[in-house]
Amino acid sequence: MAKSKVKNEIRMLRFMNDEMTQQALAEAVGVSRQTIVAIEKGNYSPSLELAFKLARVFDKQLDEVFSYEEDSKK
Amino acid sequence: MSYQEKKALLNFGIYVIALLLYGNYVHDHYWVDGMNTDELLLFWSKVLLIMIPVQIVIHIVVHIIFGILRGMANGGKIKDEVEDEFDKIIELKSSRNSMTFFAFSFIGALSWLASGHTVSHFFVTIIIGGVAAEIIDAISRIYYYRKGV
Repeated sequence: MAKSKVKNEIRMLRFMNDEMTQQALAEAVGVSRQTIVAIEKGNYSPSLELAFKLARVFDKQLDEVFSYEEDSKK
Repeated sequence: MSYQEKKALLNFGIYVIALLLYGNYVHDHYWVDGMNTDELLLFWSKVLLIMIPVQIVIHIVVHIIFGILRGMANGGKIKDEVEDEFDKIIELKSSRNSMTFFAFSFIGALSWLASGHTVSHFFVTIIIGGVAAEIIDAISRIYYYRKGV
């Protein structure tokens, strides 16, 4: 399965946010821990709704949490 | 191995065991050598029609037993397992894979009939196709949960 082009900073943001656990983040946005693991690994690109929820948990804008791979080449 | 992967494997295992037990029971009690085409059609249609609700009930029972076992493993606490968008996408993709395979096996079964084989060949091919479709469903789920979608 090809890796998603959507990159994210969730792992780093969790760490910066009092080392929040994957389980705590999963419960905060209403998904399973496995889904958070898949998103962090880049194995799954979340829906826009879930992406906004994740950004809101960290009190960040969407583009501070997620980026598209081609953006980094600019 | 995650909760979803274990569930997929358990579902498949129980499905195969139930099918074997049911097939053995039907063969011992209802199969008669030398049935004509009309009798074969009646026999196989009854076998399949009864098999569908039996499988549905088994899946429900497995779901309940799995929940109880998880509760016991977690020291009596039953955690609600969230079914989220990731699970739904995996379920859809796995179903697509298994249904596609089953459609081809149905065409294969029709080819048996068209080439002059008996009705039994047709129905056995459909049943084998169903089992293979279940295998593909279980493998697809495990693959998607590990590799992503």
